Amino acid sequence: MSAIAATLEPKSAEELAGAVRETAAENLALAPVGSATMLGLGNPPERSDLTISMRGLRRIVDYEPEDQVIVVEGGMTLGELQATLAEKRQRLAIDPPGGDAMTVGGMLATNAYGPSAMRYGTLKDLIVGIEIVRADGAIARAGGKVVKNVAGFDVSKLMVGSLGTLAIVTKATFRLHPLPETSCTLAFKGDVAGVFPFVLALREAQLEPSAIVARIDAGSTTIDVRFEGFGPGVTAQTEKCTQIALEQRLSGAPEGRGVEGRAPTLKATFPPSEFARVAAKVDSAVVFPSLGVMFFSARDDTEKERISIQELRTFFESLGGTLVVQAMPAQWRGKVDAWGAPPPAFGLMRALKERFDPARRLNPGRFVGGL
Amino acid sequence: MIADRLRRIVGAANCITDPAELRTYEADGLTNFRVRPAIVVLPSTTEQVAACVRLARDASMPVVPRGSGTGLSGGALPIEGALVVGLSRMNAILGVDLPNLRMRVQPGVVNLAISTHLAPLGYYYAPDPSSQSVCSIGGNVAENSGGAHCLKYGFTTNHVVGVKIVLEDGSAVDVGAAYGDPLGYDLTRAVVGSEGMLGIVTEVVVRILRKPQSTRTLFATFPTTDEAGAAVSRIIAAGIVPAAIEMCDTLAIEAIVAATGVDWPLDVGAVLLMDVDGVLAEAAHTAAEAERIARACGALEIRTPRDPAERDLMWKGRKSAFAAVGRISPDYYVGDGVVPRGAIGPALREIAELAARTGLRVANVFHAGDGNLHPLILYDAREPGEAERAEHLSGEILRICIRYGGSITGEHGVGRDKAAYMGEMFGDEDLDTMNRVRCAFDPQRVFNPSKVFPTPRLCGDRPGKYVAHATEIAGTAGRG
Repeated sequence: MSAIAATLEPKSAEELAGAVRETAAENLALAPVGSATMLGLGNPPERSDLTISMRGLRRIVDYEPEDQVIVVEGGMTLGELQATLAEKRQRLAIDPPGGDAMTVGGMLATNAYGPSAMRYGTLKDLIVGIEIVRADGAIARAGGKVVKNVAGFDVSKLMVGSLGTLAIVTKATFRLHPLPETSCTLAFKGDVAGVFPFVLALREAQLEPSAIVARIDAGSTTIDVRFEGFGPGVTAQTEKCTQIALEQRLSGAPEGRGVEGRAPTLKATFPPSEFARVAAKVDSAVVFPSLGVMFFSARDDTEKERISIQELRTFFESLGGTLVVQAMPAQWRGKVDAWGAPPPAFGLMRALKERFDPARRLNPGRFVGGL
Repeated sequence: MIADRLRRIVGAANCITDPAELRTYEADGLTNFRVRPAIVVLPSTTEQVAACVRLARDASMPVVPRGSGTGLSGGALPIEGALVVGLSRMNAILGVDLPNLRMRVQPGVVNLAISTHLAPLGYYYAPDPSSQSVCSIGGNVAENSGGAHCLKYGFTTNHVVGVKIVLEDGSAVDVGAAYGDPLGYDLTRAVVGSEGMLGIVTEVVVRILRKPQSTRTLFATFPTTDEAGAAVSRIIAAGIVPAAIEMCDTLAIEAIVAATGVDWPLDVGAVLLMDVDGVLAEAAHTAAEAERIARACGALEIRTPRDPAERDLMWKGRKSAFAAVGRISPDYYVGDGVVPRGAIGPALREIAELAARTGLRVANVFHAGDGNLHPLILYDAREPGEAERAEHLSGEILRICIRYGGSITGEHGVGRDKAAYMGEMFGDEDLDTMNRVRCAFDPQRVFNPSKVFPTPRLCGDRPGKYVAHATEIAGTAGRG
């Protein structure tokens, strides 16, 4: 019916809900888009008839600094949100790489997070309420605007990381944290084998870093360790951390930069204790070693590389981890599955998709196992 | 007949049909509701649980999972004709992975047993409901239990990364991921807090934490709850994230002193009990800052424990508060509601006015840091009409919480007790969305029906026809 993809930019949840209902008769497939920073994540959708720009929904709906809770629309970017919160010396404690440009809805859909997840968790830990437009055009809410709340099933958290395949997020309510009084990042250089023992030594000493990032580049590794809090605590921790680094034969280094060059195409997860074995598989990567998460790129996009993706995936799966294509190169389309084999509970996931989007109109085919 | 078949699965000793023995399972911690189940089984393996569920489903018997039975919302309250599946025999610790901060346990393991097991190693499990010495981890998963220290560390949902769950068709499936992100929908987060309505959890993978270097405890008294509430707000506004801040009002203090013998003053309006933790220098700094703020807000007296034993005693006082109220009242109802932190003062005043009008006393112990109130409504069931007035008052308190933008339950769950109020907190489409989740897991409504939802909700036919994905047809992606 509708071969030409069109774009709609609703200004309210009601307008979006109306559009979702009106396009149901034609069975149009809908693709909600925020800042379009993660469109390469997952498999190409089976069909996409109507792009829905969420940038028309970018207001702060309710902000009570004293309660450390904010209600925000899905189209607001993290950068815009953090700027508002900083005025009250607060923040949403999430730091996905390149995240300032991402929208709240985009971060929720992709479960985007950064190294500070080791201290503050992911958006699954920070979201306390949600408003969604369902595939049948109904507007529904879950959770609330208090941090502690167990009334009803936790639909909010279920939506995080569902890649827009269950519903479209129009509002989210988050728990906030105070901006730290002091923050200090130390950087060290060492070899790959030393990274996890260093992480363990920091833990053994009962230090509480808020983030650890390791950058692997041609056999050498730099490790950034961030401490946040009040002055005395940060000072004590940086001193102890430096001492531990010396004992572990790490040397001081300038703080690492962000990911160089193009965005990494792959994201792997693994048990943190397997760091050395995992690192041996790549030439260069950015790793959150305490979380067991690694971002890296395929060397090039040749046929040979495509085969090595399958081998790598088998390797990570054998460790109990995953390998996900973050940004699908054109050459791989239709040849590489972005997610790998569906997990054991896939039957339940399929049942959820059927209950929420029986006509398969929301991002069909893009998610795990073709959900 | 079905009892014989269940006996063959779990063994005669673990299948209860004797009416006198069944009485033990008539209620959970919410004892004013009682329903005798048809049969209780106490399985010891996932396979036994699955076999029991298959039998019950085929016999159209509702299945009610039960842990230690300490829940306060009737989540484990039996249903007429139900099979109760008690998980207390499944209490083994299956494995500890210290380097990766994970532990795998069976659902009957008692919450505190995890931290006790880890204590010699310097690790612990964070969620600490006051009933932690008896409540089970499976029950915690069902209720998404909190505790005093969830202010800083979060609830059960933040510390459970995977479960094994027996579904209505008798299959057992692993959900979640021990490490990293789970692939696909995060079903673990849906199962945690689902009040036993999606399936029966038979294994739990929890995240464990290294103990902090230092914990500083502060005990402060105030003339009224207003000054204490102001201190809480200002401590948090100063950028401090305490591990816990608990408040008790005069009546609660009286009960705690009577029950435990702690030397808390009886002539004050409020007690604040606070923990800050972290590296030594951080905890020392934040404790000093919190003490300064408490004094500035009008604290009458501030105590810091001399040693761990004295600290434990202070916390014992707080954690025994619910039971302690039994010392000052023949009957009482444990409330659980949430208001935004900034609304604690006005909400408490409204509750007091309401209680005065109703002619009942209310003792307040609550998690002040996150606005989670536990009004304990004192009554005497022997006095005609008093139980009804208490019930009415508890409902009105929940309406106050809803009006302030809060919640009808912060940690005890909806269960049977608060199902009627779900429709006041949520709209029909909101409840419909939750029901879709339930129907995806349990379309026949085998597990714990008649809980959480205010009116019975059916699942209807499986909506729509399933369309196969290209990868599935090509055989590159399997399903199911």
